[in-house]
Amino acid sequence: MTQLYETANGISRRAALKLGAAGAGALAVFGAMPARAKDAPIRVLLAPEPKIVPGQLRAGGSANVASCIYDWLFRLEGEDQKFTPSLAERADHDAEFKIWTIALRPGVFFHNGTELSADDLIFTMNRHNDAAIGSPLKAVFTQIRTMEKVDKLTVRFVLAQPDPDFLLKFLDKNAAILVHDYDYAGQGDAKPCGTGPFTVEEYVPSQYMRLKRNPSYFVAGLPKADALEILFVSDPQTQMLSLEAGQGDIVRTLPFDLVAKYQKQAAISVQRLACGYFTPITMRCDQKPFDDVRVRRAMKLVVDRKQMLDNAAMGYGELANDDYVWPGFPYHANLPVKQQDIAQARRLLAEAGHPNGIDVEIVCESNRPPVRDVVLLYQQMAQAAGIRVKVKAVSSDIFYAQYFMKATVVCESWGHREALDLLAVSVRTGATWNEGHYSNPELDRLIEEATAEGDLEKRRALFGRIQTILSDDGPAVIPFFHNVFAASRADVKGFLLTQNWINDYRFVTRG
Amino acid sequence: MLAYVIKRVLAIAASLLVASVLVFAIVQVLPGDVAQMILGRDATPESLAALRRDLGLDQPLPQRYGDWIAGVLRGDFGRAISIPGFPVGALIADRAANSLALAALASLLIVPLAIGLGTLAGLRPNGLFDRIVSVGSMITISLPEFASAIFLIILFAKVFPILPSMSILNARIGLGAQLHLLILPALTLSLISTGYVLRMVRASVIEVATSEQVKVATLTGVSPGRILFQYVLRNALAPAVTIIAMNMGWLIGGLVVVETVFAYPGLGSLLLHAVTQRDVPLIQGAALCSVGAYLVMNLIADLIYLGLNPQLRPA
Repeated sequence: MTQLYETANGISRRAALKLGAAGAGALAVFGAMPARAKDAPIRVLLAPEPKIVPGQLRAGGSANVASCIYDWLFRLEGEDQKFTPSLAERADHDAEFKIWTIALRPGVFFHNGTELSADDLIFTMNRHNDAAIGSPLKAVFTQIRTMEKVDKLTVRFVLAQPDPDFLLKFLDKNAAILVHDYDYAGQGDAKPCGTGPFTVEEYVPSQYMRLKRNPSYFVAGLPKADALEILFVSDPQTQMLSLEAGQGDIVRTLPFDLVAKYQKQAAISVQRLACGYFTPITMRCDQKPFDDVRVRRAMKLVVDRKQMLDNAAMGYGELANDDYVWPGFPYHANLPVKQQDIAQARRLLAEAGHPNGIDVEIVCESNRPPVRDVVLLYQQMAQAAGIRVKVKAVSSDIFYAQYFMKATVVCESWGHREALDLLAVSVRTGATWNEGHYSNPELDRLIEEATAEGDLEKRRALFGRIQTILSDDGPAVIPFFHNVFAASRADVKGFLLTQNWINDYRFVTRG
Repeated sequence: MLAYVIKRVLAIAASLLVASVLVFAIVQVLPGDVAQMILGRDATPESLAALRRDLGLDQPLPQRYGDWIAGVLRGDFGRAISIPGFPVGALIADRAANSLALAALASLLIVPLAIGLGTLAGLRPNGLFDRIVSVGSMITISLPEFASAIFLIILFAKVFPILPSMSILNARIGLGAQLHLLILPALTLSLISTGYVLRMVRASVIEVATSEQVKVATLTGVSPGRILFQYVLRNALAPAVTIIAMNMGWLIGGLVVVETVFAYPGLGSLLLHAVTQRDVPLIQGAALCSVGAYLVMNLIADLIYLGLNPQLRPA
């Protein structure tokens, strides 16, 4: 018996060694990962999303894909996010800001060879009204009363109310210009067609998309890169590791906790975008106990905003005053930030008939940082005032299907929007996403007034009143606005984050 | 033997039918309204109604099941909602082929490694080698898949940059390059599976090597090599085959985590994609296909088992 074991062991150990050596040899044949050539495609890592046709874009990933293929009437350019005409050559308005005339740039061609004309702008706008498309812009452009073709390249819009900011609405990710003679319903997702800087060479949905430079792009010298490769990778950890390993060049969203680490690495550069992303804890004002403004105030007073910002978003952002208006806007009225006041919160709760505090369930998105951290920190802070918070964290798909607009208290991530657009969809009476079911006729009137006000100082004064109402009476606890970050390999230059999610890949180049 | 195979194939068909009812029922009880889930926050009442009509959600349940299963029997799994313009059947076929390739490569690593190491360890139980193998396999089994995957990515893509961290296949590259993309996921899978199979082989080897039959053979002067191959391995392999085949089923249809980490376009990541996008036709098709893979692999395992153990064959 002993002999059997010895022999067998002996033979196979040698064999195993041989096998191991062969395996190592096989690996060596493949060799090390080759270094990236200067003209190799720039690899962008994005989470996969189903719909990539403008009008049906849902999140930032698809907006980035669209940004390479399509153009907008206007774009935000440069570090300072300068509002710049793109497909629009000029835009004029009457003294009242009610009649807008947009002239398109001549000599621009779509990828299918059609020349850009007023028909395309009208087609694109009409498409938002098609119920089968389900475009979120249908609600945004309701103010347009008529739209008429003036000449081959000019369209005139007549609005129901004056709107000095009308053009800003065309910055929306879904407002990219489509060509009127293309079958977007049948072909749009598989073979996209725009005027954009890149054309699609090969697209395998949810796996990868190869794009090459559009040689007839209407801006001379752009895009700078000859080719892009979008790799759809759903696991954020794989995205980060691939970037670190030099196997991906651009990652669109960098978690806060990696910012400091990557800033120290010479091989990786970090892009920071100051913008108005926020995570409101919204209370339903049509339900007890939050129909009582004293309870809402108590909920707001328990927050140590500085500590919240430092812990949930590593300090990358600005303190907020529950007022929805990002301090980066020129018309933002600078009001003092609320201080934490536990005693006052307790008093308000007692006055409202809750001397023993209240029990609150907050339903939040579990997978969008920093939502969950904000809610968990809130739970800690609120305890001292007798507000006992139960946290229910669910993934975004379930959140929007079951709790958004329905649950009593919710918290989710909101992207950057122009303040007036944001107010119009979030707190105005009956607004699409008025999750607090908040209604305040005075606020509605002020929003309408501010929308029509073209003078900056006057508008700022109106915003002072709007912000005060929202801060004192409004439906949400908004502790801070936070920045967003992207990361790229240090040798890849020119990637620009933009506030409207349509990040700009036209200036991206290697070396 | 032929009758047995026919009986088993019929049983597989019946199981698939039951599975189809279960899959269909489970999809119906997924939390939330499917149309609402697909349209998300931007949903409007009109777009919801239009989508419900498109998806046939306005039809009664039995009719929806009937329509679906009738389509499946004709080979038509419907159209994917989340990957516009693609029939479910084509997507599944494409992904199943990728899964099969990964499963095959992983098995090429798992089977010889597990049988080799398991036999060596089992021939001298509690020896130094056995202890190293036992502890090592315990560690690889207990590590969650994503942890071993991330560990291997850090080791082979970052510290020693010789392998790609993402396994996104594409048709333009040659077979060698495709294989290169498969190595890390295959290694990850072999880390997990080798441990299981190896422990099974080791236990069988110990049992057979100490049996009367082997003792007699040794005493009657049969050569050690012959004893190892003819007596020990042949008998010890039979139980291991079942485990290997079960593993194959898992490798083809159940690799949700590993495929997602490596962004590998297999059946498992397709299923995950379908579930997160609430793509009902795709969930149903992919789930049914995974069940089918398990059943077929089990049948193959049983046939190999019978091949190795003639006395178990049905009359």
